[in-house]
Amino acid sequence: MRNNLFMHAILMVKRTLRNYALLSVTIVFSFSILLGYLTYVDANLYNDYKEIFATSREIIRAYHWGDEGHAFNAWLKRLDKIPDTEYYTYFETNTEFIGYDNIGVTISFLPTGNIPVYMEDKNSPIANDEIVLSAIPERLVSEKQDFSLKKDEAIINESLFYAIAPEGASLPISIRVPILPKGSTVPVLCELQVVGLCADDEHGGNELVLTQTGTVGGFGKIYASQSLLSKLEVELDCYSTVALVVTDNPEAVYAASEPSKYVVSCVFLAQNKALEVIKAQKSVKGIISIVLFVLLAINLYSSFANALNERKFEIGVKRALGAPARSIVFQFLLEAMIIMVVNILISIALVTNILLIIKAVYHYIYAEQWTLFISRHSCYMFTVCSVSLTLVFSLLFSYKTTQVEIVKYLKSE
Amino acid sequence: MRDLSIVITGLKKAFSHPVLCGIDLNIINGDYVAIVGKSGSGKTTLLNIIGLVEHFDSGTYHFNGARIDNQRDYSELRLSFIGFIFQSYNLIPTLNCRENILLSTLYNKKIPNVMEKYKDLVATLDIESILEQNVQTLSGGEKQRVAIARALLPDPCLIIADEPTGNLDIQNKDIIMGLLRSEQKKGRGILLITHDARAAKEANRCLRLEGGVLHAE
Ligand SMILES: Nc1ncnc2c1ncn2[C@@H]1O[C@H](COP(=O)(O)OP(=O)(O)OP(=O)(O)O)[C@@H](O)[C@H]1O
Ligand SMILES: [Mg+2]
Repeated sequence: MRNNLFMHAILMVKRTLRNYALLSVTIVFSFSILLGYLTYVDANLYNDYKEIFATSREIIRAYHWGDEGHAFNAWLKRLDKIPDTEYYTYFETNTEFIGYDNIGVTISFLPTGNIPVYMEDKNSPIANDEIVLSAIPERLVSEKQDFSLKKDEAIINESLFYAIAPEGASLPISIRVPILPKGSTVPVLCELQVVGLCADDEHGGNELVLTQTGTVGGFGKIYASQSLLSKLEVELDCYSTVALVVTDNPEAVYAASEPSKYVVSCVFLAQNKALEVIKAQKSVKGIISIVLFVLLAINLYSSFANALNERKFEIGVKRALGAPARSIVFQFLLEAMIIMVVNILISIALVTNILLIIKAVYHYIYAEQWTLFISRHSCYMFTVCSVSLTLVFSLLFSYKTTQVEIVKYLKSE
Repeated sequence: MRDLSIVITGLKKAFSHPVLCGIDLNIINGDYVAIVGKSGSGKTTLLNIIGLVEHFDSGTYHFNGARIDNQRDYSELRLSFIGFIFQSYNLIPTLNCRENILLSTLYNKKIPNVMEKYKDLVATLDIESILEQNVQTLSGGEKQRVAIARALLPDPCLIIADEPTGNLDIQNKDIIMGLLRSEQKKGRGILLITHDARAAKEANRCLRLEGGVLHAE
């Protein structure tokens, strides 16, 4: 009998689809708005911050400009006492590129073998002077796969290479860069063999572009070996000292530093700040979800009442013919559940498709990688909404069938 | 045929004004009772009370020995003992003829030889050709025949018919009156409401409802 009633409920849903149409539209519309809102907010947050969380919170990059670096050096000394902490330092200086008026370069003199890390703070919703979006390890794009450089070797970024290399040229090529020794006004010209290429900065910081005058301009980067300086026997005049720290105790490392005296960029600070923003969004999301939930419930209440009104004649006839109230309740409980579940699934499919379209728009129009993402918190909220509304309204809907007065809804003349 | 015994004494019912003011009525197997009366005299109300879909205010009503009160739901009695034929058919428009006729099988699994009986009914009522048809497209006579098949399928011992021939032509009237007669001969009790004097004559007992009480005609 249960089985029969089950088939009957499915049959009645099919036969009364038109009657359920308005209700279905309401459900799909409301659940899509709820789910769409949750996922869109989540995905946006996720995409804003994914780079922050993609890099490890263990990285801290600090630099000190000039040579009066007592505070900086004292900090580095203190790092020796913090467990699980390693660091290396290198010099960095800016100069122009011989023969190209519009090209400036940053030269970093690396201790051999270490992968440099640069910090990216563009397009960051929370970027400010101290907080850096993410630490991005330098990525090699040519055959050379490491940063071990001989005295006169260098690695430069891709677009710098394409800006200065003759067309069709292949590695290695040689370049000449002026370096200003300490106390001198005459730069030393050093000749370097470019043996590898690294990627441009992710947000285009080092991309060399065509200027208005038709020449190439911008800022490139050159990685050279520390041993070059000793070979040239020069001490740099204008330079900064960069320290790259990798530590299991980033809080302690940061606490030991004096950010007012030199620049300290910490991934963990950015992550903490991002977490704060996400947490604040969570309560906004919660409030909006509750508002949507209430609106949805009111909507569902009237739509279900409408759907029931259309069925009162059927209920009256069935009851008059002897259908027990519990069978009618069971039939309508099933119908309501089918309608709710099917329409919730439709809204999920709909929202997923819309988000995929947004993703495609980001990809093809803005050339950005927009990742679909929904947080566990949102999944939880949506599930609670779906399950509770399905249960409450199925039960209410089916319970209301018992209130139908049989005689009243029979047709009589 | 299962036993049927309906005993009603002093039954009263009022809406905004009194409608039934002391009805006494007995029906047993093989009875064919016709009730006539002016429009608004309370015929349908009485029929709904007897058919266990309407409450009454006072008096007693025993159905097969059980005293009917207003607290309980008698769907089980309706399901297995009463066949309702409505004046306006009351076919469910979203179901086709076959589904309408077989409706009671959804709720009552214990109807003996139900498929056999279904085929018999369909044949007797000559509705084979319209079984899969949407009930809304049927003619009045066809609708009434489908409604009768639905009422008779669960093998009820009481058939309640509220102006079953009200909207029908003479030919269809005769078919339906003949059918009621043959059902009565099988031992079912029949309670018929009609405006039609000719139909009322078919009955063994004809009662007039007037002033809220039943008078013999
Ligand atoms: N649910 C109700 N609420 C209020 N009054 C009602 C209700 N049902 C019936 N009545 C009244 O009770 C009286 C009897 O109605 P009923 O339908 O039984 O008449 P009837 O004899 O079947 O008439 P007809 O021959 O026209 O079908 C009428 O005056 C009607 O207005
Ligand atoms: Mg009537």
